[in-house]
Amino acid sequence: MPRHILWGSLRGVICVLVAVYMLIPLAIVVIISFSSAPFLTFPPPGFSMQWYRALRDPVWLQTLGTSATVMLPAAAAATALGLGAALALERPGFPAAPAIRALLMSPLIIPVIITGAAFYSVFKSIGLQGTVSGLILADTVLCVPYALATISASLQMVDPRMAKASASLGAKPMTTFRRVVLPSISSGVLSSFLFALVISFDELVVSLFVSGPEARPVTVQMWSNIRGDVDPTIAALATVLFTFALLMLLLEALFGRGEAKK
Amino acid sequence: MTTLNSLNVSVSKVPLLSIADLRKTYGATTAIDNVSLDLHKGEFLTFLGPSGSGKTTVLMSIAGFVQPSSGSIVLSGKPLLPLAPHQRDIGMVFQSYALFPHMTVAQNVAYPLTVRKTPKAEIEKKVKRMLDLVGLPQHASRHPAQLSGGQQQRVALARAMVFEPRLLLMDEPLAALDRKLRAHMQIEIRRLHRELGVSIIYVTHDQEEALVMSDRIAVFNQGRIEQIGSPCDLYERPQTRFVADFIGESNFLDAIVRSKDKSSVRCTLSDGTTVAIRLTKKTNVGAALTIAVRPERVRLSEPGSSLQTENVLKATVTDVGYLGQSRKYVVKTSSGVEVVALEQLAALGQRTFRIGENVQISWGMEDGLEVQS
Repeated sequence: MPRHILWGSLRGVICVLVAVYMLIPLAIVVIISFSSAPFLTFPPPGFSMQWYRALRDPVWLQTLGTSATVMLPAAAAATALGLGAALALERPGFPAAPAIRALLMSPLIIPVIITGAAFYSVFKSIGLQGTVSGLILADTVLCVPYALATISASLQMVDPRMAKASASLGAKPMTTFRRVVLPSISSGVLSSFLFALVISFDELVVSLFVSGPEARPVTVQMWSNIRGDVDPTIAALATVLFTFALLMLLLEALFGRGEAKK
Repeated sequence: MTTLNSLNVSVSKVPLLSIADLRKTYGATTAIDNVSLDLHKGEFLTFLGPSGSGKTTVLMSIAGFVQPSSGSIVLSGKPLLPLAPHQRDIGMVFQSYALFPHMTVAQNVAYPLTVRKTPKAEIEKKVKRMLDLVGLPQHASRHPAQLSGGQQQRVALARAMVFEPRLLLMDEPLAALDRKLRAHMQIEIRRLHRELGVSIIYVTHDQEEALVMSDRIAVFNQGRIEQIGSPCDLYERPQTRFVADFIGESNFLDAIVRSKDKSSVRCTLSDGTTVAIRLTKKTNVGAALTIAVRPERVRLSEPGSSLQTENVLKATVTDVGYLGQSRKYVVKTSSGVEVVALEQLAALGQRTFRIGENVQISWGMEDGLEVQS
């Protein structure tokens, strides 16, 4: 067998194995969520929808509601901040651009547990600990790096001569931004918003520090449930969250930056 | 009297654009150095030069995307440099076209009118007229990505002209097109220039393009203008060695001035041959000068044949190239200087020469031009 075919098929096999390895835990969770048994066991002895019905429990509905009220403003704020920062940092000759970019990207590098502890002590002293506003602020900070990276990448794809052409045709800088730059990066902005939604919804470690009995996102509720009584409700909820994330990624693939050009 | 006279001249011939002593330095490097020129209304002026010669820097200074270090630019009597690019009312066509990909062809062309808040009916009328002019009336609702390179260039032209700018700048607009399409677009741009009477500054590094299209050409070299004049002027009367070499081809011969009279200068070449050129500059006896001779002015003949001109050199053919309508000879003179001769193949049965053959090369006194090295 020629070498390139051998290596080609070997690469294919490795890719499939990695994909299977990554997907199996997810698949097991989804299967368990339909289990008839009252505890986490695999394979399930039978099929039932009872754990999805259990999600109607006010604890879940309330925490899901909290997560939603946190993720929408957090994603919107992070996208707006990321857009502003990307516009400034992509400008040629912006002072200290690498340092500012590194600072804004730091939540990705600093261990989340440190970030969480830091938020806890600061929020505690100014009365934001355990409030929805605190959660929104914390998630915004965590989402900014993703927004900045995504929007920066789309801005770099915009030919700088577009803005020059627009100016030479008589458009004021604000008009150029609104009519030429923004439409060119709109898919990147949408991607960044969708990513931020998923990240905020999925966030656990920082939320553990910042949340309280009055403001408890669904991830924190899941965490405390797993430590206590473990039943397939968790699996059902995980399946719901997983479907939500999948939906966001699908939207991103359809309308986001992934789409080349019309 | 003199004052009145010069005033009269300046009133009747006031230039549309006037650049004076423009300089741009980036740290220690000088991009442009004391560039001065005038552009008259309706004129087609080309900036010609190799890349890095400063022609684009001057163009970008006029457009407002480069801030010159010193000097002034005046458009229609008003200083241009204090204005932001969008306030200058100057159209610009980019090499990459820079069409807006999310807008249709019609929206692209309408853009300069839309941002000027022109009434809708008027926009529609003007866009239609421009698209007719550039030959794309049926493509109005397409997106730029659906058009060929040549069509995109036409849209870019229409967009830059639809708002009737005081001046149109074009930065190597045809560089991305293939040879045939480029020749076609050159004619198109000339036609638009004639029909709309727009004043154009055109940047290119293609000397042929510059010769075909321009009313006047400014030849740039190392941040300075070497010479500015009509295409014919530059080709037939190049002032410097650079211009003689960049526009067309030239043979260069170093010579020492031996004597001069009212109309001619006699010089000797390095091998001792005497040649004569027309007296054009204040040349001193004993001074060194460079003579440029166009290849098509150099004649080849058999050794010993009598000729009417005094400019005759002995040489040996070192290369022959057949070019269809002409034959190109490379010969080496007895002093070792290579000379290129281009012979038109006008008549059948013309005498041809082979490699290694001894020949005479000759040219008329008018064909030798004194150029600055």
